[in-house]
Amino acid sequence: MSKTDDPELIVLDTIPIDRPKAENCAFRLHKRVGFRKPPDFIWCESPAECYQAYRGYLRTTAFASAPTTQKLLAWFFTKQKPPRSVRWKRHDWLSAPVYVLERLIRQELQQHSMYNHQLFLVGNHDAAWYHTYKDSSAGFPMDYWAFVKAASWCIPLPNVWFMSERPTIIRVEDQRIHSYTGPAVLYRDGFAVYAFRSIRVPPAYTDPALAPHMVLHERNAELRRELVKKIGVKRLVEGLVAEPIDKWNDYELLKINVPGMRTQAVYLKMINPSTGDTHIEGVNPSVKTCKEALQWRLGGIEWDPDILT
Amino acid sequence: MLLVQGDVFLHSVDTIPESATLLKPNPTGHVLAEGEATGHYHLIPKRFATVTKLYEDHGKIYLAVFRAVELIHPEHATVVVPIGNYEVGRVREFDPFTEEIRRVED
Repeated sequence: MSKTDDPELIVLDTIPIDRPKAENCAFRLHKRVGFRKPPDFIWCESPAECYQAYRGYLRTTAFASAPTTQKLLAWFFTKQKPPRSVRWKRHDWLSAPVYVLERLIRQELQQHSMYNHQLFLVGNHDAAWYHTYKDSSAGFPMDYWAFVKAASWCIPLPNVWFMSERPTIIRVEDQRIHSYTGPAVLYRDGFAVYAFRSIRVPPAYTDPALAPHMVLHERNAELRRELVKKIGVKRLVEGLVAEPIDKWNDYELLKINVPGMRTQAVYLKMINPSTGDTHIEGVNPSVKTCKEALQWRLGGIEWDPDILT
Repeated sequence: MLLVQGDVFLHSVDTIPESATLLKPNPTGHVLAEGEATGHYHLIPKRFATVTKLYEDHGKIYLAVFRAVELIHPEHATVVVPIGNYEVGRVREFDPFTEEIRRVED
């Protein structure tokens, strides 16, 4: 495999696209579907701008035949991808940036109601499937692979392709799309994805002055752990005016008074033995010791794990 | 026996209820829990599908293991699950703002 065939380099590329080359590759694909006339290419700075342009196009164009032809395109491009059963085999990819970047961008588009499953059928995100597909009996179609390497996200229609530029910034840390201090993915037009360790977060979470009590409001345990990491355990405990009730091994039971909270809050502070990260979870306010809290977390089962990871 | 992997735990039980229904593995294997935000799974990979069976009974999930299998997750070390019958549990937490008890979500 040459360097230019590396799926990670293709997906995480931030160099501006060579547009004539990308258009040429797109036209070859267009011809494979059965269209002879080259489509118009409308270049946008981000997938979000592509979507806006696509919506505008639908409003201003007689698009009577589009559903049929778009279905044809959808069928063709879906056929190019490995079957679902092949994709699922690569469970280890689920947290790899090469795979996660696509999910994060789709989530961000969904957040702004700019997504449906028939759009963005092709793009460099498909490079993630290269390894599994090239080993399958069908092989990866070379025209398609050339396009994946040359372009980025796009919406293909029979007469026009909306082509997005690549992002200008993709921050990766420890094999995760990640930035505590700003956008993890940023396009030229400002469309951005904020993420902590490959999990999409609200932009406010990247504020350097994030208030410690925000941790308690976060419902998702993984994100709470990341917020604890970002804020720092010391600042968090001081900021929340947490009073230790009990301590046992790596566990600490904390009583926290937050204005506006009707019940007294009791949190268990613990360390993930696999990663060493600290995280906190709310427990029933009636518990008095760490052991009681651990037992309560398991619904009453005595805390004496044979294996804990 | 108690095996804990993050927010999922396996707790030994003597038998699996006779009324329990068998659940089919998906193409990846048996997914014991899936993170909504992260997309991460607590997973028994497909290569162990022939030596494990997953059941559901009145909202409870049970796992029968006929040969030692691996339980994997990207953010936690792999747990080797010995032969036996287990109830699959999810860790719970208390939200003092809403005063509700809920499963830990990741």
